[in-house]
This record gives sequence, structure tokens and C-alpha cells, in this order.
Amino acid sequence: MEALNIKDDYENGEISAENSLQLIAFSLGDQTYSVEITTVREIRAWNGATPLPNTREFVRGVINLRGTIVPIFDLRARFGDGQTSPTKTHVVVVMSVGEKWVGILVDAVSDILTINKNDIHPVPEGNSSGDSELLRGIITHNDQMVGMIDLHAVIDGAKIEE
Amino acid sequence: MSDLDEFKATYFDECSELLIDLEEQFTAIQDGDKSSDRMNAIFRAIHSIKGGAGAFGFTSLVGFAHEFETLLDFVRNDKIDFTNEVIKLCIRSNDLVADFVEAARNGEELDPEYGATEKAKFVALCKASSGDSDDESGEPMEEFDIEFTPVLVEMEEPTEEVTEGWLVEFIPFRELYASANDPLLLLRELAELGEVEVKAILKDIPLLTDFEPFSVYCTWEITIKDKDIEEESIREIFEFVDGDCELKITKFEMPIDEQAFNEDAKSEDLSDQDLEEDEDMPSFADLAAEIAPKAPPKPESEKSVPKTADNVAGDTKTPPKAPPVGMQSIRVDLDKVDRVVNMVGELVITQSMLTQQMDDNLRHRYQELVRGLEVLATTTRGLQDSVMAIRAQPVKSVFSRMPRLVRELASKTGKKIKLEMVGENTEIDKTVIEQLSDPLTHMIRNSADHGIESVEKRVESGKEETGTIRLSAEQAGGSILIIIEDDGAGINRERVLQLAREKGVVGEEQQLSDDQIDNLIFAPGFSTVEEVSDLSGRGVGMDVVLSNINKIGGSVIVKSVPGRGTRMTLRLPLTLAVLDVMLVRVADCPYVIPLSSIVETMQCARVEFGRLPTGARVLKVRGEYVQSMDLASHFEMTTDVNEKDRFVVLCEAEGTNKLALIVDAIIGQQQVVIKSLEENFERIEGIAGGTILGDGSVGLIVDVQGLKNSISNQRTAAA
Repeated sequence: MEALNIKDDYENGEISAENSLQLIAFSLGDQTYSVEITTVREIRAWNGATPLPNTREFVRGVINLRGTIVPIFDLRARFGDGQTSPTKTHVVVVMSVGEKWVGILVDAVSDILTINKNDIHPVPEGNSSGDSELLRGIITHNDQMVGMIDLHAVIDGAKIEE
Repeated sequence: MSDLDEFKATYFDECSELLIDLEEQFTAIQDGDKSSDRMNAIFRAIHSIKGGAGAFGFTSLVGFAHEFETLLDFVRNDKIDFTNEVIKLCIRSNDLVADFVEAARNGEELDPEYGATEKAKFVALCKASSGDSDDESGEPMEEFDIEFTPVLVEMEEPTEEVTEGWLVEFIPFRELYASANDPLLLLRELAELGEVEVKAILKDIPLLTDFEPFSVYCTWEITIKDKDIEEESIREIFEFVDGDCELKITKFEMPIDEQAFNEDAKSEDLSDQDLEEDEDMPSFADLAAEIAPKAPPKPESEKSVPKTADNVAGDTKTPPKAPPVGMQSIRVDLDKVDRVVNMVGELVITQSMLTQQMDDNLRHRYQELVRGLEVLATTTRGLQDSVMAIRAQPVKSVFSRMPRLVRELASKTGKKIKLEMVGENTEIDKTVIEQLSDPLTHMIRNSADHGIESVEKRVESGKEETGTIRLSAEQAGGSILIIIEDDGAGINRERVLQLAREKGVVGEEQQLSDDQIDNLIFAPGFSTVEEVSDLSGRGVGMDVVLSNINKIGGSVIVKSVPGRGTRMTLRLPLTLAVLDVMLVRVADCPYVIPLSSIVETMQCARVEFGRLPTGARVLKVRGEYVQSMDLASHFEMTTDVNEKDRFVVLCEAEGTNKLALIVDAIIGQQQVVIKSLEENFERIEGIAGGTILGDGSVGLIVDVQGLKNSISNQRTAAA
């Protein structure tokens, strides 16, 4: 895991408070994605999940989060790259989406980014795989492209419709 | 939530309680108990509803309740005869009050004409009895089809003569209440001397900001129209307030017409004070006086218990009727209770997990630990019972909605239906009660609509004109039985079977027993009425009732005797918080099956399977063929457990309908706390919810009824 470079962003002093946005970045293979830090409730190591029947392959199952049942979504599978084979080093990011709490399974959490809202680029349309619909925007960090996940879209359509 | 919203919520909570109470009182009155306690209780309840409504500005509710209250006041003061017609009007009005409250709760506005007919009747009735001094007196109110006898308050014949009497000016000092005196009592006593007219002088009432609740701001002018009364006897009445008030007693002479003009009618005066108490001090005292000396209304449930129900009533918890001297209760947010219940549930499970960990070796080595665990087990059980008792509620809160339903059904269908209720005080967990309302409503509708015959038909078959629906609740071991019986025609088996065949619910050649046919009414997509009737056939069949009941871990059994009636028995768990389950394993995943639906378990190696032409496997068990379902393949999971080593769990779905589930292994029996999947995810077919197992992982609760339904759906889809 890379060293966190939160300080760098602040020291630049270019980002005014009202325009700044903090994101948690995580890696999935060689790609980096992010979600707003305010939606993240908890980050925990992968410790297995109970599979749910009649759900799409990106639903890894449910876990017990201090007495509440929380569904886990496999982000890799959601992006159509096949199921992750999770190990103890894989990470579940638990987030709140509206009223619900959900977890997404990723390879690792890599960074906390502070960005300027004006630096968010729109997602180019016309991506045939439909992946673009799962992103809300794109930012550039350290010359790397970081996709901002649209959580509502990610958890949508989890059930297999009959 | 703002403060006001919170107050509103509390107000509506109270309203529901008051409406339940009202329903109870009216039921008793209908049964012939017209005691004044009841009338007072009703009056108070309506009054409280009105008071709160005023505070929140529900004008239409206030308007109606006010008129209703006026009528009730006349009735309780015996100024209107409480005839059956008046009772009917009151009960109808009570329903309307409930409608107004409901509308207010939902923030809706009812039609401004809503309840206008009833209001007009109130006014007419009241006028007839109070306006007897003017021309209208004694005039029968022909325009209203209500039978009543205007009861005249004894009074002098209006004459041209000059009336003599006493004028009493009663000017209490501000501190009158401090010496425990109540003007109303004095006024009542005065009224016993003879005809009185009371006029309250309100000019001294200060602004609300300066208003001292324990001060008297009113003064009164009382006219006693009987010259024969001794001044001494008037003074005697005021003896107790001597020194607390100023009293002027003067003899007067007054022409009769002026007298009539002066005060409309003596009777109206007293009641007016009651009604305008929002601005009027004395009525607070009035209300207090009303409430204080009266015995609390006796719970009336026993009155409606028919003789045959003695055994049933014996089982129900009927608390002794001790007068509640200062209610020893508090209002607690249900969320808080739920949290405690959930935690206790977890505690029970942890405790049973700990106990299971003790093997003989450990037992031998740590005897103190064993003893400690035993004490812990007892304590947790006790804790669980007490906590469940907190959340338990009498089924009355659901039952009380039914009399109204039956009245409406009776008037819509033109049938005569009587509702008997037994064991309303049986207590069930609040969560179960909440789930009970819809199924019960539906079943009662069904009984009234399909069960009870029309008057002509009943007479033809030698029955009483009035059909009876009997609703009873009783506790039986770890469950609650709710029984809905009617003495109607019973289930028309021929028609049911024919329809079931037409709709493909039953195969053409399939032979069914009577019981099986009766239970067909619960089959999905089945309804005996072809035309959707306004009452029961709302496109929702009895299958919905069944699935609702199953959802809360209950079951329904129907029994019918042609020509004599139908009985539907609901068996419900005492609580939803903790569920007894069988833990099984399917493709390395833990699943739990509610113990209540399991009939037996068997090893696959020891049972016989047959195969239907459709490819479906059936289990042959004691000469019966039961549909079987491999949970692993149904849930699209792979298992490497040898077929011979797997197990069959024979489950009972609806009534006598069975389903054999094939699982990999049976782990054991335990108690679990039901957790919602929908809270953070969504409902999944075949899964009723989740639960946290002893090792912290999530187990899924198998929805037996849902699985059974999915098979039926597949079959209809294929057909």
C-alpha cells in the first residue's frame, strides 16, 4: 500500500474549504476508484459472507455488522470482470446509501484524497460495456485516473428477476 | 420531528386508545348496559378527542365531536331517552369520529358534508329536549326517522303570570379552589331545590398570560324560580363556602317572557358550560368532578362472553378489576422497548451457545462455571419473559376495529350479522398484533360476505335471522389461537373444487379430501367469487391472508360443516423476537427452518422418491406423495454431498399442504433472533429473513410458504 499523502494536498493550499471534497480511494486491480468519505461508515477486512440465493453474481452475500445484516457487493464482478477471489487482505468498505448500509468488496483502500469539486470531469458517454453508468465522475490524481463510484447504480438490480 | 409533530403523534396515539375504549363502551351499551358510568366514560373520551383536536386545529373533527358531545351530554343527563335509535346514532357517530381522526392523522380533509346528517340529528334531538320552553317543545320531530320521546324537564307551565323567585349572586374569591370547594357542586345542589337558571359572568377572566389555573375568575348569577323556598335553605348550601365568597340573595319578581328570554333554557345552560370549557373555568372543575368520584369503567369483555366460552375465557388473562388509583404506568417509545427486546434476544442466544460449548470434560473440571451458567440460563429466561410482557398487548386493540367492520358489512350486504368477541384481553406481542389487523379484517370480511347467508336464506334453512360471527382469542401453550367462526352456509366444496379445477389449481383427476378442499381457498389466485365484490373480493384472495400469517410464523386451518358454518383457526407465535429453528446446511451455507413448520426429518437413504413426468421429484411418506425440493439446486448452488447422506426435512406449508426440503446436513435445533434482510437489502424469494448464528455468521431463514408458492407459480406459468 502506498504511503498516504493527505498532507500534500492541504499544503498546496489551493483548495478552498467550500469547494473541497474528501474521497476515499481504493484499488481494484490496477484501477483506482473512490467514494465520498462522508458516506463511508467502516472499513473492515474480508471475513467471509453468507451467499444469498437468487441474486446476481456481484452480490457476495450478507455479513453480520454488529447485529445488523449488511449485503456485500463485489465491485469487480459489478464491473463485469468476474468475481473476486477474496483473501484476508481484501477489504470491505461499508457505506450508507440513503437509508441502507451496504458493503463493497475491493482489493485495498489506498488513499484519502482532497479534491476540488471543479476538478471533477464528466464521464464520457457511449461506453458500450455500460460501466460508465456506474461512475458519477472522473478525477485525476497524481496523473492517475480515479473514477467516482455512483453507489445507487452499483447496488441496483441485485436481484435476479424472474 | 418538531415538538408539535411529537405532540400530534402522542395525541393520535391517545385517540386510538380512546377509540378502542369507546368501541368497548358502546358494545356493552348495545348489550343492554346503559349505566351512567359508561355514558360518562364515553362523554369523557369524546371530550378528550375534541380537546386535543381543538389544540391542533382540526376544525371539522372539533365541529363534529362538539355536536356529538352535546348529544351525549343530554343523554347522560337523562334529558334524552337512550333508545335503540339513539344508541345506533351514537355508534354511527362514533365511527364517524374515528373517520375524522383518521383523516386528521393523514392530513386529509373530509368532504365538508361528511357527518352532516348525523349532526342534524344531534341538533334536532337536543333541541327537542331542551327547547321545551319555546314553541318547538313537544313537537314531534317528524322529519327525522328517529324514534324518541322528548323528555321534558319538569317545569312550570308557561303562564302570563309574574314569576317570583330568588336571585343568588355568587361571587367566589379567587382562592375558592384552595379550600377544596367546587362551584359546580353548589350549583347542582341549588338545582335540587327547584328550577334554576345559572348564568356565569365571565368578564373577569384575564388574558391567558395572566391566568392562574387555580384561581376562580367567574361569578355566577343563579335564578331560582320558586318563591316558596326559604332563604335559609339557600344559605345552607353555601355554608361551606362561607368566607370564601360573597353571596347576595334577593327576592325578585319577573314577567315570564322576560325570564324565557333571559336564559334560553335551564337545561341548556348547564350543558353549555360543560361544552365551552375551553374558555370557561368552571367546567374544568366540572370535568374534574365528573371524573373523580366515578368508579372506573369496568372492563366489559366478560359480558359479551357466551356461556359456551367459559373454558376459553378461563384461559385468558383477565386482570382483577381493582380501581386504578393513579395509573402506575409510563409511556415509552416503542423503539426503546424494541431495542431491549432485541438485546435480550441476543443474550438468550449467546447464553444457549455458551451452554452448548460445555462438554462433559469441561463440566467436570469447572463446576463453578457450570453452576454460573445454569443461573445465567434461568435469569436470561426470566429477563426474556419480563421484557416480552412489556411489549405484549391485549388483542383488544385489533379486535376493537371489528365491530365497526361488521356493522358496515351488515349494512352493505343487507344481512343481519352479530359479532361476538371472546378473550379480547389475551396478550400477544405488539409486533404480532400489528401484523394481525389485515388478515383478520380480510377473514371477517370473508365470513360476512361468503359465510353468512341472507336473511331469507337463513329463515329458509331454519336458522335465526341474525348470523353470528364469533371472534375469539386464547393462549394455547407457546402460541395464541385466534378463531373466527360463523354460523353461515359453510364452504361450498363442490363449487370450490370446480373452480380450483378451472383455474388449474387442482388437476382434473386429482382426488381431494374434504379438508383439502376447504383449504383450497388459501391457494394462490383462488377466489370463489367470480365478480369482484366491493367487500371481500378486492383482487386479494385468502392466499394473501395465509402468506401474511406465515410471514409471522403462524398457520391457518379452516374447518367447515356444510350448512352449519366455517371455523378458521389462526395459530400465532407469542412473539416474533425469538424463533425456534432447525439449523441446516445447504452447499456449505447455513440455513434455518422455523421449527413450527417442520413435521419430521428423515435421512435420504431411508426414504423413497418417485418422479413425476414433469421431472419433479415426489417423496413417498406413509402412503402420501409429497412434493420435494432440493434446496441446493433451487438456490442454484452446487453441493458435493452424496445424495444418500443428505436429509429430508418434511415441512408443513399451508394447512395440510406439505413440502419436502432436501438439505445437506442437519446441524441442530436452536433459538434465533429474526433480522430483516430488507433493512439494508431487498426481499429475496424463498428467504424470510436472516439471523445471526452463534459463530457470528449470518444464517438465512427459509420461507417454506414462499417456496411452496414458487412451485405453484412455476406450474401455472408452465400450464
